Amino acid sequence: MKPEDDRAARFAAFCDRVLSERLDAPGLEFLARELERSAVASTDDAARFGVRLGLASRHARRRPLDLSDAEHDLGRSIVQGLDPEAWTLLDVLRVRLVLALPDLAGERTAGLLEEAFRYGDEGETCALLRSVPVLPAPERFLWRVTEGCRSNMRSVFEAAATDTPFCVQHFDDVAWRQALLKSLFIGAPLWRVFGVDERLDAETQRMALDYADERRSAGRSVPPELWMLLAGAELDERALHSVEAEVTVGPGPARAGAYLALARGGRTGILRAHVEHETNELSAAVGRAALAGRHDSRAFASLRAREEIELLGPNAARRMAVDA
Amino acid sequence: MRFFDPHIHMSSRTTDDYESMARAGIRAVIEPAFWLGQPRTNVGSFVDYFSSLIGWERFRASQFGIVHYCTIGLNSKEANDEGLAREVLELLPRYALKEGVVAIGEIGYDEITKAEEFAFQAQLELAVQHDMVVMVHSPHRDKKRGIVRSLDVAAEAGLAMEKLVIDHNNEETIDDTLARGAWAAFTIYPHTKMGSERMCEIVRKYGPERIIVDSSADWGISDPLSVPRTAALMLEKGIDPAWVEKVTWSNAIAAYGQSGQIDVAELERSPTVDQTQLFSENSVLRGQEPRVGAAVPN
Repeated sequence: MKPEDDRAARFAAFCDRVLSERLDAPGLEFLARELERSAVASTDDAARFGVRLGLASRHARRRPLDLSDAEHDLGRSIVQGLDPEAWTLLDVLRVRLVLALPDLAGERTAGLLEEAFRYGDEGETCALLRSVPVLPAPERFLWRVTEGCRSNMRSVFEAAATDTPFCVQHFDDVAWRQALLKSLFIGAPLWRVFGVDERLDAETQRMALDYADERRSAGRSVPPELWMLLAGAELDERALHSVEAEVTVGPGPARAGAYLALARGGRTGILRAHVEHETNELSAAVGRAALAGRHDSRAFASLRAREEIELLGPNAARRMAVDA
Repeated sequence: MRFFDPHIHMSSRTTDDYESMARAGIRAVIEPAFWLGQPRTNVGSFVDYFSSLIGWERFRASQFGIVHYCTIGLNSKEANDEGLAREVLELLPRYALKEGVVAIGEIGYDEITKAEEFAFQAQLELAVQHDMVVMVHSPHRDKKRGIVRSLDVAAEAGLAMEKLVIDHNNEETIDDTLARGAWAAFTIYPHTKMGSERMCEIVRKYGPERIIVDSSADWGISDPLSVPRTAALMLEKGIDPAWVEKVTWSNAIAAYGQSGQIDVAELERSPTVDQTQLFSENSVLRGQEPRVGAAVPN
């Protein structure tokens, strides 16, 4: 067995564990029946598989999973960079149905998945995108994931770009930079895009700084997560100038993003001077933590609204607060 | 008050409409699959149309705190293009069983032709097979006969009457529809179909059981606020608020909720949380300007 197949099997077992705790009796019956049908390859065609993905919505709602710590540890231990924290119960059920297809590496199964993408609704598209990094040779679905990143539906974008190692591993520079900027444009959590810190370059920084200039010229505020996209061990003059402008004109809480950028760009002297005079509670706390070395991309989580994180459930919110 | 408009073609409405609907208290809508004002000429157009009903339109509605459900079906007008109709009928199971699809519809008769009857029967069969609700569009011409025939054909197909909603009723057709045990929906249109005043009289006379008010607003002269406006008039005329709530909210949920696709608990919750999620309103993020106030009135 190839390690990739093992990965799919292990993730399927994780799904089973999550589903067994959360589906009701008819839901579990549905799952058992459909898994049995999937095992008989010859009876499955694209239409039946598509219907199965649709029918899953009769048995699982789009509710947050709120994984227990043990489940969460298991869920993110299988594919590095894949974290099911923000998935819904319906996502898990559908991903399980995908993983039940026979011969996941085969062409016939790839064809079934392509058709499922073609006829998929928003929720199905999200689940299919989420299944991609678990599949053998996930790069076969590169075009589908770049399409997902082009979607203006935030849910679809997030399924393609966040909590998955796929983009950083398989996107070319153009697609990768577009995904990062797109995340800022539609308000998706950039800190949950896996691998940002490892794949920043001068061109991404230029695009981010141009965007900051554009926002200011229009009299608009700059999204604080933009400061995550500055590259290099030391901020260059243009970047420093833009960050300093944010500290001067940005609203209280927005300064936190600029502080993280100063710490990330090795300008701790400047940062220390600002933090001493900081009156905004959040920005002061983030600045102090940054001085103490907490300034990787996940530190930007603390700039998001608490309400947004709480939507994922109490366990997830607690883990994210600790993380931030 | 909160409202459910169970028949409105949002694809043909503007963003401004969504804003005023949310402001007027509309919390959920059903968008039935229909034609586009002109006939489509190939099956690919249906693929993209159905995809937009379950995709972009649902998302667009959610940005205004409105839950968007839809129905999937081949409408009676386009059923008359027989070759294309067969292709569309084959396509239907791929969409009809998806999340948020609450019925097969709107189907039924337009000119009451053989081709229309074929498509109607095929879709009734699909509905019975998958235990779905059916939304029937009643014809503009020869309406009474069209409705009686729709009821007969649906019964012959084995559809339970509580799973059948007959739409666009009027004073002449309500008795047949209710007597057979189906749901009677009424479309409030400014100039044709049913007016708000007449609707009040119907509810006064028949009571609220199995009666549903909708706007059927589309690209024609129509009003996406028909449901809240009619409710306001009913209250003004002294109709029991519990009755008004039934015909503009809970009856639609009871009828279409039989699909299992309406998360009633979620619908009952205040939609402000979604706004926070979508617009990061209380966030320090200002990448997007929030377009709706902090609290959504619907």
